[in-house]
Amino acid sequence: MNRNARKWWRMNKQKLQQQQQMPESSTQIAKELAANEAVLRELYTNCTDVVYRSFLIGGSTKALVIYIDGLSNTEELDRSVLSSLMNGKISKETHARKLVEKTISVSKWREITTLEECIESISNGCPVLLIDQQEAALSFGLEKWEKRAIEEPVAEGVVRGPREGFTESLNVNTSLLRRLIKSPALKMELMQIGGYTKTKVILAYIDGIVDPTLVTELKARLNRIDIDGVLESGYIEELIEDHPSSPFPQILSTERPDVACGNLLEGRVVILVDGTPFILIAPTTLIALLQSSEDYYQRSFASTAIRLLRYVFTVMSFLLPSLYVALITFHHEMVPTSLLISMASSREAVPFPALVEALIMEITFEALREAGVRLPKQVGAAVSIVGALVIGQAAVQAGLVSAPMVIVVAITGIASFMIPHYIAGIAIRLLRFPMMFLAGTLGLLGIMLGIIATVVHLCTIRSVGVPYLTPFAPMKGKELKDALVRAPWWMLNTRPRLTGESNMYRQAQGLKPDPSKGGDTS
Amino acid sequence: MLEEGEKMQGNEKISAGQMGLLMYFAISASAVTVVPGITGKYAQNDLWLSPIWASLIGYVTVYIACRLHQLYPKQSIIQYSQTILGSFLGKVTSLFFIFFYLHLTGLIVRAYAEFVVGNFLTRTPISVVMISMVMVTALAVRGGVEVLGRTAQLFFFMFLIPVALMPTLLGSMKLQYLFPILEHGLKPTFLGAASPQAWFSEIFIMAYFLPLVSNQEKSMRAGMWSVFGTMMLLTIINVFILLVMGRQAGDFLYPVMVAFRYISVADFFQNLDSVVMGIWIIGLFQKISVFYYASVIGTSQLLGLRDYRPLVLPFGILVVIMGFWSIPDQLHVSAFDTFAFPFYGPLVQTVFPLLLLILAFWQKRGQASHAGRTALTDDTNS
Amino acid sequence: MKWGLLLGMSTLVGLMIMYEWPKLKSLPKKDKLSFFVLVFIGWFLSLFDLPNLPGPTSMIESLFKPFSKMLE
Repeated sequence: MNRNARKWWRMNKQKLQQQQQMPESSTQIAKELAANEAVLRELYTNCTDVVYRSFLIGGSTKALVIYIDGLSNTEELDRSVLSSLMNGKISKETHARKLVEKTISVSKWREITTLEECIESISNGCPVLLIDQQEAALSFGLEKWEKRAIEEPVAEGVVRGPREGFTESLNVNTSLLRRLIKSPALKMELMQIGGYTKTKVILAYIDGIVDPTLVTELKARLNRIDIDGVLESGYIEELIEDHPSSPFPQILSTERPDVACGNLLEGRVVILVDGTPFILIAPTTLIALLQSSEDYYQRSFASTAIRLLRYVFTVMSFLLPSLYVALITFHHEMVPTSLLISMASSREAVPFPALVEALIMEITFEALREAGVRLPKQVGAAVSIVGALVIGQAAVQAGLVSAPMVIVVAITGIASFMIPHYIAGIAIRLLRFPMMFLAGTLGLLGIMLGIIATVVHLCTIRSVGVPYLTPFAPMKGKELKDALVRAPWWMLNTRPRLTGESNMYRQAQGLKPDPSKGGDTS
Repeated sequence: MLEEGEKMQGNEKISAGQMGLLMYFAISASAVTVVPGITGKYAQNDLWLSPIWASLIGYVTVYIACRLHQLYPKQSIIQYSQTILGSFLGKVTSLFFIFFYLHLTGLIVRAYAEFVVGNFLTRTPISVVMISMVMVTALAVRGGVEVLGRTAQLFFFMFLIPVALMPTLLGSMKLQYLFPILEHGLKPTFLGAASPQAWFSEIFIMAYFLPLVSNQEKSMRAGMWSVFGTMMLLTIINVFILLVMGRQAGDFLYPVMVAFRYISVADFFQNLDSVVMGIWIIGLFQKISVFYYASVIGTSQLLGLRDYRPLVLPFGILVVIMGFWSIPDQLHVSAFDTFAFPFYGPLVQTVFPLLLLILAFWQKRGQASHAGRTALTDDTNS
Repeated sequence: MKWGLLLGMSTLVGLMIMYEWPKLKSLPKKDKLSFFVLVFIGWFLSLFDLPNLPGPTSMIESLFKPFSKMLE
């Protein structure tokens, strides 16, 4: 079965190449302009967005400019290429390269010799100039298309910190990285993935900090990908992760350039994908998913407190409903008597067992949340009204669910939104459901077994070779200062060991500020 | 570092500290629940002294296991017993050791299930409790020794929570329960040590983990520390239940559970025995996974298999079977723990390895003198 | 009851084989053989009324009976 699928894919791949009518990579540009034009017109049959503009260089040599409407800067093309070539005095035999040196005032250009390069340039928005009786063409870097402005990332808000977020266009994103890390050690390697989409993917890392084996491994994994299209970095993420059958994300995705740069400086690799503001960071750990970039900008005491609060609520979002179910169903004796009485009285009218009640409420909550994300903003308010009034109050008054259950579900919901990375929150929210089943059948024992199984799973998985629970298991005493707490910057001397072994220290020793050190210029 | 996928048991490594923690769990997890009751029966109000005597055998066993491993580096007991005793006798010994640990795993699972069903889920069938635990441990054992080491590090601090809860009972502790010390001489405390010393001899299971330790030079120290840690834990627990319950401690099967039932902080945190129980389930998970891993890895080494993972699930069935076989009820579990295991355990895990060690020393000395003589003749020839 | 157990065990063993087979396939014959032998032993033993049969535990207990007197 598997083998058949592979064979089928290989056949399909050939067909794909034919369908796309890609010329062989070695097809040279012909000497005759008419021949080249014919080939290109044949390839771009029924492509109304391709513009062909033929003209005469210096009034004698035939030439042709090809570009795709909307992808190129036509004003600049008209001014610096067309007008200067048409009006200039150019002898017939001038080589293409000489033209650029003398007459064409475009800074970014490239000489190309094959038809495949020609097509690549055209589809990337670079106008191509073909000249009669010359076997080389010119491609100008005049890409320009409508793009979204740099905005504040929606999913990762901060109170203090930069408000720039990545956008959909790759060159804007790389420029955002370069503006933060100016050193030439920041390398960006380009790849193309996707049979039809030919999506540009950039692998960025800081040479000298990153472990070179990490880069080669990630490159190998990216090269393995053979897919027809990449529309979002999620495609790449699922195709390169270590444990595809795990609910936990093993690659961090973020919209924030500062997060990307922080991770680059810790020796991780960043993968940027054209067409999406979400970039990927590998390797990552569970702790990294529970940290926000703001932790590093606020004072260390505040950050530590918030981190601890976040850990507590993460555990709560995982366990609270199941603990409630276990207490109600099996372990009445653990609840203080007065609390037990008030809980029992509110549950009196409820016709369902606690497990069913919890499942109904949790599923409803998930539905409300999903509806809130999908609905247009104007209608969003309606959802919250329906959620709060109908499900919260009316259901309790009708005796369908108990009030404590609503409280538990609400706290769980808030707790799950405290996790800074949305995707990590989803993983934990999903695992909550099997936990509720375990609690409903085996009580506290079931919860313990569920916790153990989850921990065993977390201990098993790795992200690009790095154990997922890294600073805790295996225990790295030195790294706990940036995991359990957030030590002040003057104490964070070393980079995390598994990623940044080659260049351990990130700052000078003894940076702790002190009045006696002030103005020390020696 | 980055090579995933084809991960064979050969290149998995744990640190000496992780091994020490695993060993700590391997002894103390079930000792804490059962042993104080058994000790209390004999030693009465001197029960806190017994773990100290009992730990001596633990130190000796650690020494034996580490010396054997030094003589035959990178080998487990299954492999070097064949070198020491010859192929046939060695294989018989290995088979016995595998059976021993399989049987022990079954007994631990049964004891755990009796503990849970007896205290806490009285209406749940015992087989459900046993099978669910075996399934979770199978998951960990399949993950490999690295996973075991990591879970041990994570769970270590949780396992200390019961000790941290003890001060809340300060109010109901009575110091006079301690006295008179050594009313009937030392003999009752020695008798009380009979059962815990069998638990301490269980540390011989480190013979399976020593070849997997990355920093070998620290492994003996780690083993000694885990014996010491267990001794401290048992002593503290024993003092604690003595101060809370006095001489009654020996009348209960699980005196620690009973003691924790007294806890009530600010009238809100009551009946924390469930919490304590939950945490001990974690400890027992770790213990069972260590024993389970040892029996599976031993089998795969004896048979010379390429991967031990396929054996994990079939062994799970066998573990549950061993937990039922000729044990009709709870009484038989504690009878085995009280009367047979104090002799059986140390005999297999301390005395027999000691004999192996003596034999190995003797063989190595013979080889060394032989080698010395040939070297001498070589010298004269050249 | 007895039949239920047999059916349950057989299903369990079947599931186990199905789960392990894809990985087992590529391993040497010895690995496969030991897997199936162990599964069979487990399946076979589970058919008896084990708690009330003499077995390893009772054997060891009777073996150490003379020593156990010391502790009574």
